[in-house]
Amino acid sequence: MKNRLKVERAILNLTQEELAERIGVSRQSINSIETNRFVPSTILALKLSRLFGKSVNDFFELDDDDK
Amino acid sequence: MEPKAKQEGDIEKIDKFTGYQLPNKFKIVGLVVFIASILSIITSLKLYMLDVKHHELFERIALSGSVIGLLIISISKEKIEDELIGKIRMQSYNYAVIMTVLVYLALPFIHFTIVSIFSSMPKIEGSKDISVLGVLLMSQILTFRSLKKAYNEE
Repeated sequence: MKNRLKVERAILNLTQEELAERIGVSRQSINSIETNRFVPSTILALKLSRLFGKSVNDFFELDDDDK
Repeated sequence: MEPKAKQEGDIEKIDKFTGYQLPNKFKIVGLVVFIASILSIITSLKLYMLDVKHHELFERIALSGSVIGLLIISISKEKIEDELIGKIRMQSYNYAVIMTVLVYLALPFIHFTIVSIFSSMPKIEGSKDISVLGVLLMSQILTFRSLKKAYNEE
């Protein structure tokens, strides 16, 4: 899965720690999503969508590895 | 309506059973209990002042204490419990169960091989607690099946 989390985070001018706090997760979770080590749950993705003000499809995308 | 309510009740029951955790502060408690138990075993080996019967009881209590300490560390929460930590915890329990079973199965044979190099009359001896592994795997299989039923709505 590809993600544009870092970009969206930069648009809101937030550090990983600040974003994590707003969503209610640890900084490690945000970091591991951005580095593609962890795929978040739907609820977490929707919370990010609500915070960014954009659809989930705008910052998460399937890539060729996901069948 | 009835079957659905029963399934939700099952999930609640199983969540209650498997969803317990101690607060984060208990990690230190667990560590202290573990170290204290290990230390008491080491010191009791040096000062062998109790008679044989009590020494075995003392050792059993101390060993149980060390296991209890590790258990407390294991089931204590992290500072922030989120889904990544939940996933990591599940993966670690997975790995621990399978690794332990394999190591405990292999150990007697490794021991036997090494002993037979040096002696012509090797005796296979292994941990007497190996049935614990059977209980462990059995409870994993049964819990898995019961969770599958609880999540499956017909």
